[in-house]
Amino acid sequence: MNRTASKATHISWWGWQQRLSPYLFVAPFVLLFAVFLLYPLTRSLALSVQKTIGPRDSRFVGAANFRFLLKDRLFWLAVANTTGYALAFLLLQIPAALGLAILLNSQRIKAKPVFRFAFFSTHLVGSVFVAVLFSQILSPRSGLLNHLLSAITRRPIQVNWLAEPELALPSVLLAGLWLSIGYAMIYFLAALQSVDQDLYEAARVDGAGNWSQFWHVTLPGIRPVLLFMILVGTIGAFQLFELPYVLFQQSPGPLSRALTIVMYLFITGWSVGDLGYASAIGWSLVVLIAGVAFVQWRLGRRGDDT
Amino acid sequence: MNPAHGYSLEVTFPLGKPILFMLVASGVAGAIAAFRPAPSQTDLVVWTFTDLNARTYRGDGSTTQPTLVDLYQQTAGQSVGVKLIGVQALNVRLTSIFDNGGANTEVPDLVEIEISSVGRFFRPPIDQVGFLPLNDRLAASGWDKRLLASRLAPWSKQGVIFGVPKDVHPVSLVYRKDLFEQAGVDLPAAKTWPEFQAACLEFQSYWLANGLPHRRAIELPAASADFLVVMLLQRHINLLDTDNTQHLTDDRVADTVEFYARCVAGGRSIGGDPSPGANLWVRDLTDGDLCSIFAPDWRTSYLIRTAPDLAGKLAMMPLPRFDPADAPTATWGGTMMAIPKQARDPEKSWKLLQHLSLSPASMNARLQYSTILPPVIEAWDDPRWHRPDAMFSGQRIGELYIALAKQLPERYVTPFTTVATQALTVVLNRAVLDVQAGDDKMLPTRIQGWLREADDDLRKRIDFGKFE
Repeated sequence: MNRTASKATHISWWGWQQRLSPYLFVAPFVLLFAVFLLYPLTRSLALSVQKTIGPRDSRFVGAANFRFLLKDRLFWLAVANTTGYALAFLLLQIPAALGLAILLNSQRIKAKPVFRFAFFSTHLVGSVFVAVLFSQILSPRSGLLNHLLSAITRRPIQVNWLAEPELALPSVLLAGLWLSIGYAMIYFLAALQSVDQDLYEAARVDGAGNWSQFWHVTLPGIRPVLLFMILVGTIGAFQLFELPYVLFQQSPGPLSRALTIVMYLFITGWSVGDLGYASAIGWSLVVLIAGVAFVQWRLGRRGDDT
Repeated sequence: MNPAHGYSLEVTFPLGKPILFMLVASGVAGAIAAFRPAPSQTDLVVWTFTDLNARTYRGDGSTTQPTLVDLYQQTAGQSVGVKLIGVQALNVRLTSIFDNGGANTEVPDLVEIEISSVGRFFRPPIDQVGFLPLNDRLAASGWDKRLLASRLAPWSKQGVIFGVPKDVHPVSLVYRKDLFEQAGVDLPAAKTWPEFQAACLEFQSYWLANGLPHRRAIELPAASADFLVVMLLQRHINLLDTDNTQHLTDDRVADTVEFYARCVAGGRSIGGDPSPGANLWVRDLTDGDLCSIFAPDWRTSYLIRTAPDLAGKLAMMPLPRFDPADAPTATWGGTMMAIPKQARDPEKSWKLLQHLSLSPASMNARLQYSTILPPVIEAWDDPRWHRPDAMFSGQRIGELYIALAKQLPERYVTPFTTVATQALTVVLNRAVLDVQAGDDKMLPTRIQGWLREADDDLRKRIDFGKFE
């Protein structure tokens, strides 16, 4: 009898576990998500339609923050800078990362793990470190880049990379690419290794050259990863903050050419102390990124249909 | 428990191994958190963002003398905890306290705020600023007369004082005496900025002829307006007054921008950018790449600690002026000590504030760690401020700083000061580009136009952002 009762208890435990386990597994995530993401998001949405008055008072202002945003030339300058950066970043990062991945995927390359780690390692140090590093590399007198250019041209060169408006975003871009190409390369490398080798064999039998193989076999094979990397790269580029912030020593750079949307948000929220307007900037960024992601998704789907 | 039994693995814990593992892991983590040594509770807590001030209060173990914190415990019978917190973290935590009324969180009894951060805390109407007004306490204790009056300005909003200054930070000019003497240029003879520019051009010509074309006479960044703001302060111009009155369209602003632009670009350029990175200007000065610098006392203090190779090669002079009515100095940087309104016992906080920032013991302690001039006027009589300095070839730099401090122009900070400075920076950038391109015949008119544009934009931002 006891044994039967014990078995029944055990089965009821098992049933209880089956019912409850999924909730217990997701509970930590749900809890953290609610506390650290959902609540702040809701709060910032509420703030974006408020003017905060003093430490604890606020006043509903409707769409006033967003209306001012539409006429705010600094915001549009930040949008233009960020969009320019995002475009240049994607146009350079994706081909460079893919090129490196193809190179490392080649049978002719030896010591692949060493190269793989070397290229990826830049991503391990983080953007603040990279910004500090590049502030030294781009230094007008002692910077490595000017020394290199001087050695190549055989005449003294002292370009002030961080003080010239035209060079501000390219300097950030250089640092951004150095930081992220290796990271993207790892994804592409994994994608390349999953492309069915039989397809290359068949293409070669059909007389396809290297370029044809790349265009008709490789690219379709890695397309999901390619689209993912474009999406992730776009989001990352639109959220650009630490690199220019540290590189230009907490300033938006010459002629505000390194002012990004998130940097403008930060300055508005933490220097001016206008959390309502800063929230409006943040939500505008969300809409912007969502819009770009939607367009990319539609373009990706169109590719699937054809 | 029989391995042959169908449920043998599951019965070890009714909810399964993964959950058992998670529970054990969280139990261990919880136990570690619960039983770790609790931070010692002190009667009073001070938040600071500078290592220097933290060391001044609690010592660094280098002496056996009682620290300021020890002395306070001995005299007032209350323990003091000094927390060193990064400046951004401190600002965020303080904002959080002000926003939630200090509920369920540690509220410091005293807090130090850096001058570039204070504007945002002055955004609310006077009665809602998160710091305790100190006018009455300063008057009752007589400190309002004993502190340098001009130094109270940055920490005040419309006459209400919210913090006690920790410093004065008068700006002097430190230059490579050896290199200027070698070039035969008597730099201190230049009393005005145009004379100074002429002397620097002569200096650069000498070094150009001697094979050093990149040697620049002074550290003047082409893309940043930090030193332009110092020059404007010399002329008693704050971009924004304490009530947000704008001064961007003052004719003297346009003049100063033009002068500065011509100092960093074009044929009469004398300035060079400092190497990017924290305190790398020391290397520029040591290497002779930049041969003079704007030198508030915090920079000089750092220079003395970190560049012994420059001993005997430096000299200090007041800043040249534009007009006789200008001050031979201005202020750059600063920190205040304030009492949050939510502090547990404001009277105890005030007593501690006086002990840490104003008392003779605090004056003595700060001299152990730095040569930053205090805002307490009577402390300037200390003989240590009047002795010759070997780094500066025996020059009495303390006396020079004291003389400059007495002529210090007022500086105001509002939430929009950062925005105004950024607007000025963009005007400077445009002027520099014009000078670089040689397209500068109409520069004064163009600068005035850009300043008007910036002023209009700033007005819109202030009107939109204010709520008083």
